[in-house]
Amino acid sequence: MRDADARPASAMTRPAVPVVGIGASAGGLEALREMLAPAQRPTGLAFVVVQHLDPNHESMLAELLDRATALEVLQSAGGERIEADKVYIIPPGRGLAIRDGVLELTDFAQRRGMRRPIDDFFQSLAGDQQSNAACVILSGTGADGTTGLRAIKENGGVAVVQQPESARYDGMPLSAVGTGLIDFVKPPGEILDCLRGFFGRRNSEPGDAQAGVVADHVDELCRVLRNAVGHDFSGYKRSTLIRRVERRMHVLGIDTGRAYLARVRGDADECEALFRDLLINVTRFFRDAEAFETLRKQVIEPLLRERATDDDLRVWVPGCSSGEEAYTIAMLFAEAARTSGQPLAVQIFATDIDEQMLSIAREGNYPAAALNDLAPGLRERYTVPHAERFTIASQIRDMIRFSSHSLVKDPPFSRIDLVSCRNLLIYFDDRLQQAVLPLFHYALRPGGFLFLGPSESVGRFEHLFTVVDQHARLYERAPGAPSYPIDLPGNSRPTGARRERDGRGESPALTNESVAIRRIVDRYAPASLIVDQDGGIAAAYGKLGRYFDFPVTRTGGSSAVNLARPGLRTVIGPLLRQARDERRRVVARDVEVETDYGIQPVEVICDPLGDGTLLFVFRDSGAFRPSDQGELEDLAATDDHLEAIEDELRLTRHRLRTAIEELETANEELKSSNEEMMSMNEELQSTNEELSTVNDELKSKVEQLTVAISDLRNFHQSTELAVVVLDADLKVRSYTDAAVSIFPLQPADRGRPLSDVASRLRGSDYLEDARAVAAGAPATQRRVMTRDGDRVLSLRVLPYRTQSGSVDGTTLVLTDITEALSLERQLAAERERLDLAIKAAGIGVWEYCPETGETVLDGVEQRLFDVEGEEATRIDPLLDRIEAEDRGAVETALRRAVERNGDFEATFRLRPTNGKVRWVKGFGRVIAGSNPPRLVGVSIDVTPEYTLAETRELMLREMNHRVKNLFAVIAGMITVASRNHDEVRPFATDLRHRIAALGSAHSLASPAGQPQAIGLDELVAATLAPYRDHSHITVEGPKVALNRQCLSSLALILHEWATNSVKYGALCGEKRDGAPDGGTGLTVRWRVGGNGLELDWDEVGPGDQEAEATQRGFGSLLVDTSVRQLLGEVRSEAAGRSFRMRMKLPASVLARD
Amino acid sequence: MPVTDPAAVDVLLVEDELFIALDLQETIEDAGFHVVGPCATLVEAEAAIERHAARFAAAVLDVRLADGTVFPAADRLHAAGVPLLFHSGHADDAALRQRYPSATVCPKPSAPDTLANALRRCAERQKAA
Repeated sequence: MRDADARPASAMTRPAVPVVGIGASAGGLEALREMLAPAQRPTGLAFVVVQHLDPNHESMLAELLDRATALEVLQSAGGERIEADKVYIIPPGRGLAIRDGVLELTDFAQRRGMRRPIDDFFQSLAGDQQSNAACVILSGTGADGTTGLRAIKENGGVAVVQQPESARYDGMPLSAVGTGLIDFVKPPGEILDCLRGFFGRRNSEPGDAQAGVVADHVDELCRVLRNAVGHDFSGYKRSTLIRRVERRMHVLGIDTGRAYLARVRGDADECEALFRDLLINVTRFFRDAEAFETLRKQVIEPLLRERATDDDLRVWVPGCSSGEEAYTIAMLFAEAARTSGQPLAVQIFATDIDEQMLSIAREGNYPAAALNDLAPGLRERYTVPHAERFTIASQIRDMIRFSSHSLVKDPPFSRIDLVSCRNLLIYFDDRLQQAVLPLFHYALRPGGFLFLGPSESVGRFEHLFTVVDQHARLYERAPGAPSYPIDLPGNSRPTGARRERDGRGESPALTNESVAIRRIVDRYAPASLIVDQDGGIAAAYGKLGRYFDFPVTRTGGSSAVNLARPGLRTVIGPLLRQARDERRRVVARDVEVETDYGIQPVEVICDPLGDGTLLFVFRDSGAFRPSDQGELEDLAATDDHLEAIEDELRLTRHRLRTAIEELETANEELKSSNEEMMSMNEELQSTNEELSTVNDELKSKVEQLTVAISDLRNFHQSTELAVVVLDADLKVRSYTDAAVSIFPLQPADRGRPLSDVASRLRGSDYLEDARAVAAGAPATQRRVMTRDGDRVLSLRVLPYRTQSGSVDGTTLVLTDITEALSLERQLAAERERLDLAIKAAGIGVWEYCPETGETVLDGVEQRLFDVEGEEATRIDPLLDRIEAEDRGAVETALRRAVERNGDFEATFRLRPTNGKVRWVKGFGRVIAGSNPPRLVGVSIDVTPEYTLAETRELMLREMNHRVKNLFAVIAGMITVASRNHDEVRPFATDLRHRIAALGSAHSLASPAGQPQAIGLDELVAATLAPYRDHSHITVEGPKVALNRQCLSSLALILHEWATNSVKYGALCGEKRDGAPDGGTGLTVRWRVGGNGLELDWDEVGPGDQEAEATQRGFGSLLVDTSVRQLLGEVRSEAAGRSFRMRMKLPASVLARD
Repeated sequence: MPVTDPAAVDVLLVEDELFIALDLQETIEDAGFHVVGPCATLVEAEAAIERHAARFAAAVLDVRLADGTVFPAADRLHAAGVPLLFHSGHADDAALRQRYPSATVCPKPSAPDTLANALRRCAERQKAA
């Protein structure tokens, strides 16, 4: 073995991974665990587990096994290529097959309880893997696996069975052991080692060398077998013999042929095992259907047609094995007879040397799978189905005699019409084949047919058989005298042994010798007869007509005693009995045989042959005496008595036979009943197995249910939901404790209609709802109040759905929503207030989801942004409304708020599609915990505030300008005044006054700079205010608002006039009270006309005005310049004491409003 | 005084505030120029420009006038290559400088020397051109 290992791997083809099919049923899990637990990788084997599984439940087998073994365990889903060190498990509800090393799932053809998944898989395994297959049968009831095991063995695989004592259920193991084909019987834990050993030995041995070794011992083995079992295999094909012997050696772990020989010599059991292995062959119904079709057309139908009226057709099926071939032929005959309407007079002899096979054949009981080989019509007419097996109909069964008979050892049948010997010769070597074919020639009547297997032929015996159909291997016996093969191929042991020594070349000589002997017997030897122990004629030689009444057949059940002629008849019986009992040769001398024509004295010798048959030899001991009448009568008288006794014996025998037949019939019936019982038992057992599996699962379900129920009970007791479950008739099914506060239910109320139960609810609408929902309406919800009105409840009525989805009752769910309602009301009020506030403030509310860009705007916000409908739901149109300059800032602020999860604040301008730009300030905040983040916020229209600020800015600039302007004016005044003043003091005084006047005029303008109108009256009043006490001053005129631009000029003009007046005119002195006519006074009047403003300055001074008027140098320049500035004109009139200034100013000095 | 090209000494003065105009006039004349104007309005200013065919040594302009801004007149002068000197308390420097990059801006009120110097620089630039 080590040498083998040392050889380079390339030199040997890698052996395929052996596939071990494991069949298990009840108790199988335990056995599987034990079997696979010791596995250590690599095992070099692949395993396929076929377990009876409940098709409706998921199998946990793979999971359970996986924990127990180092091998990879997986449930097959179909399509897996078998790999080493993996365990494939059959899935529930499917069968398993293997093709080209790939697993396939199959559907069961049989109904549940009749399926035999183990047999099915083993058969497929055997066909696919041949000798690479192994099967293991573990614990289980019934007999699944037994048939499959045969297939495995037929294809050269190995079979292992769990030791029945170690199995929890020993049905399957015992049934398997019963086949006698089992190689190993082991406790589960040892099976794996055993298989590894077997395949290890097989794969590691160089086949040729071993074959040589074995071949050396085959002859000797055959001899040993012949001695022990009585069957000579020396004529069998060498290659087959060697292969099968080797297999036995692998099984036993024996390495050398010599050792095995020794084993066989000393071990009768091994002899038996080898014998059985050698005989394994494959057979089935209609094997090679085409050939049988030819047989039907060419042989069976013509035979039936041409049959002589009185003759039965005789068919011989040697090597019938389990009987399928014989039954096939019987069915063909029956079918042909049926269709042609001819009587079915056919007798079929089916023979084999294996008693075990014969008993299977006799039962005519086959697995249902074999039915597929039969055409539907045949199946219907000629089979009786039982559960997963079927039996052959009795009409077919009765056509066939099964008997133990060796083709090579026992005398052949004769006058046969058809010999069907298929696939037997292939096991024979040349020599044996050549011995057997003449034998068939002898057995067949002239014109009879020989039907061989597809790889067999008549060889060189073409002169004995002519071809009818070469393809179907159908031959016709050539005419010619039958030559009886005296020297049967495996007849006497010494000659057999000698023949082997003489070698095969002797065969033709032997045939010639047997012809010679036949000739001698037929022509020269005295007539003789072989009978069985009851006197039935087994064979006859020579001219027996003188001693017996015809017809005499060479074989058959005819009694020699009955057929013997008077005189002889009286002798044969006693002679037979004596010879049989004493096992010695006995002779009866001077026997006078009476024929129709006279008396023949003979000497009869009876010689027991040792195998239970006896040889009668008849020798004439004297001359034939022609008969005469007188003598006839005397003798007749003496014979009468004997004849009467013989008659009685015959009668008695007849009765006995009838009784036996009746018994047999009864027995047959019992057998068939038994079979039915067995099959029922099988069915029950498989159901039982499934039940026990289901039971286990149910147990765990019950546990789960218990927990679930307890959960439910706790829920019922602890929940504050009031739930009442009603059935379809609105009867209370269950309720929670909280429901009691509304429906005062007692535990005893379960099953009472809810309408009978008082309720604290106002009204009974809930019953209507429940009724409607129970009838299929959708779930309803309504508010109900308690009678006292304290509580408001939400009542939901839901359909109660069963697991199948149909409605079976309703569930009432009551929730106390009193508080929720008041809360809801409060919330509504709050919300209303909030809404009001928001509305009042003109605040727009928005919501924005940055991730999706979706927005939600309220009405105010929509108006603010001037968007509506679809536009208001996206951020983009909103951003478009924002002024381009501000948009970036807004987007940044939004982004920052989201990133920092903080607040959003932005002020921006909106440019609505129509209307003015508006300033909007937005605030927002990311909603805490929102995902994706959402912003919610408000927008406020701040346009008025912004307008105000802008105005203020404008004002400020204006004021600034004005002040600067004022400085410039003052600077100008200084420049101008400096031309007219030589002295600094009066110059300064004048200037200060003017500046003061300007200042007071300016103070009229609002300090805040509002563009409010300044009244002319106010200006006049302010200018004259310092001189109010100087004179009588009248100011008259309508209310006139002045343009601010003109204020300084006008103030300067008025100031100049006032200053002049103080110096020279009306305002120079004290008031002269009480002298209205001659008194001084100043009147300032103005009118507003179409051309503008006209202002009159009238004063009455204390003295003459004219002189002074001319001297007004710088002052008048100032006034002229100012008037010019105002685009006006001024005239002065002086007359005596009165002095008048008339000034016309254009409308531009008036404030526009 | 030698007879000179009037265009070499004429300075257009546009100022609506008469006192300031008087002051400015004095300052300009003290600097040795002859004042055209002062014009208080845009209309007057444009008439003066028309009259002198826009030939001035320089122009001293207030920005805001009673009848609008001085810009139309300023544009015309600018086009004619007259150096501009803005004297305004109003318009910000930036806007003016942008519109008339070569112009001089003297914020109101300005010291007479500052104004006179600026004016001379303008005139010299004009002369050089």
